[in-house]
Amino acid sequence: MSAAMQQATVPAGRARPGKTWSAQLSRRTAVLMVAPLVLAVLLLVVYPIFKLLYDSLTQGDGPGNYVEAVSSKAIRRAFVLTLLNSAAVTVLSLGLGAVLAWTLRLARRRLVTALVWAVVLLPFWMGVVVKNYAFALLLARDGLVNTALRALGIVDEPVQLLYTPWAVIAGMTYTMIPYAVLALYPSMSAVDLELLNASQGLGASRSRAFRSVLLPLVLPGVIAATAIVFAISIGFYVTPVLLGGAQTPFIATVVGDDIFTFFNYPRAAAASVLLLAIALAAIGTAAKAVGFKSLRGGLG
Amino acid sequence: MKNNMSARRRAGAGLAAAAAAAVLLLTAACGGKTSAGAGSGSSKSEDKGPLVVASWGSTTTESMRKYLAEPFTKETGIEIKIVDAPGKYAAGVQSQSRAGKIQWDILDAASAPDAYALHAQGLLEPLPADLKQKLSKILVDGAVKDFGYSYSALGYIVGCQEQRVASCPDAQQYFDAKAYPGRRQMIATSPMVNLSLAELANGVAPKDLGTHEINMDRAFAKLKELKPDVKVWWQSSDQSQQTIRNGEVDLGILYSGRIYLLKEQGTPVKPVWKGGLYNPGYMAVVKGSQHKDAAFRFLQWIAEHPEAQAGWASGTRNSVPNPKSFDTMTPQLRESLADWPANREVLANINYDWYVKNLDEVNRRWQEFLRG
Repeated sequence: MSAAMQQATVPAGRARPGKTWSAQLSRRTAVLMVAPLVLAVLLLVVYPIFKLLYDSLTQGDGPGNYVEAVSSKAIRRAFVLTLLNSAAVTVLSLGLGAVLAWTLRLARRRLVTALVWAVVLLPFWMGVVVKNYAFALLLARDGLVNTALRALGIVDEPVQLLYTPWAVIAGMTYTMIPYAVLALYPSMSAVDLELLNASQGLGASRSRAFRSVLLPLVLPGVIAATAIVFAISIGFYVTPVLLGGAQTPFIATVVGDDIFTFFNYPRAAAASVLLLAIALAAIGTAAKAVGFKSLRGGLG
Repeated sequence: MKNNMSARRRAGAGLAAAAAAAVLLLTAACGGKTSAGAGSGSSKSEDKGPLVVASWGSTTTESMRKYLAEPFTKETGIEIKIVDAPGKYAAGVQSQSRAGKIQWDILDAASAPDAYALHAQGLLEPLPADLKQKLSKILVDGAVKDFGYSYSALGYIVGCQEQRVASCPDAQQYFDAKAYPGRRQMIATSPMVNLSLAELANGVAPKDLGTHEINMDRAFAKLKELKPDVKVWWQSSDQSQQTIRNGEVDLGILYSGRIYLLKEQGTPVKPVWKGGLYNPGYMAVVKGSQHKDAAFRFLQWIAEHPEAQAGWASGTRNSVPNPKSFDTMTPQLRESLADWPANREVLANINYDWYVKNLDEVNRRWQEFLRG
């Protein structure tokens, strides 16, 4: 009550000295403010990762865990499937994501941009089970896709779509498109269209303008998006299980088997570390190519 | 310091136990009416529990509460607490035993591989000899083991979508994809079921399967032959229903209860019991239970109350071991249960003793087969 009265007595538009708003924080305040976050990262990210690394080298057969993991046919096949499918997902989501991001750059009408943003962000906000279940319904033998294919006379017998790598790629691409768009959009929205017009005015063909002007401008965004989409893709668990079935294992699936079914924790740790190393290598390569700044920009 | 403290605490606990034992001895000596033998009525009623029962959740937990636990508490005054721990029995008992703090007294229908493995590790209380003898007389043949008795049995049997499968094979003919064409499904998470079925198809007599040592090379070869026709390896019983319903597969090896559930929900599925496998669950008491006698008393009570079992079966659709319980069931219900004589006599037993001994090897080769 008294505080409110006091506030009211302060003349409008005149701040009291020493209480100005400033972009500069004192060192002490800054350290204090990031401390909880640093603590959380140390506790929830750094510690578990080091523990994982340590366990993978000391439990079970020690370094032999890695030999065991790599010599297992199931794990090798899971690695191959994980990497190939993730590469396919990366290419598809980047291709489709680029079209969407460029549309967002060019579209003038609010309705169009709003619609495209909605299409991009809706799957982003949907629960993972809902998304995958929708795909399971669409791709089932008596699902919409098979019904349409048969009605159009493209196939006579329903084809198996569900529980194949193709179903996994479709479901994952749908999930990853928003990431691709969000990573591509910053670099695309920064492109000055006059540059393209100027190059064509100077005699470049449309494809030359694309190659020599647009592509170099958006390349950092493309590399960032590739790394991000690929690194997230190789860690997928739910989609391969639900849409790929037992026959299309991802590394995460096999790690899950080892932990929950076979209680082979050391081998699970070794396989996880290998997967993590691949993800880090992808991000690291991209960072080296375009700098962490573009990567960060890509992540929003 | 920490060690010191726990040592002291242990010493304290030892003293307390000694004191308790002394008091018990005194009361026994003075009262003089304590009788030996489990479950001999009111004289054992000092231990009021609460008994902690680990159960499977959903309908199993509800039925355990409604048909077994509540009537038992009403009759004996022994309280029962049910905790849901689906699929976590073995891991739970192992970690409780390691921690030296047993929290569960009873496992409600532990899966056979879990029960055999825990028994082999010495983590289950053996049935007292007199109780074992009593139970053997009232339950179906083969139900009573050293560590408990079969409860909540199911069959792994063939189910065919009748509109899509002209003639439905039995479980051995199931491996002949030429004579019995159709898209198949089998369980992904239980290697022993698939290996056992393969061995039957390889010519092992059903009556010998329970003691037969699986020839893994031969069994995996048989499964490999069939693999192109197995379109789905199901990972949950809900999935096995869904794939039949949405036409992903035409026939498969399913839990018997799920086939009848599909039928009730309007999918035309035909169950074929012949050549299938008997899949028991086990009621067992956890080693180190603080309420061991009361726990065995509950197990005995369940075994001796066929009408309670019939109620439980109507709630869960799984089978019960007291043959008298069939008398109070509807014909539809009892004919869908694995212990119903017409079904039981065509089901083969799985050699779980062998599985427990070869667990790592079987699981490893299974993963290579399925994922590789």
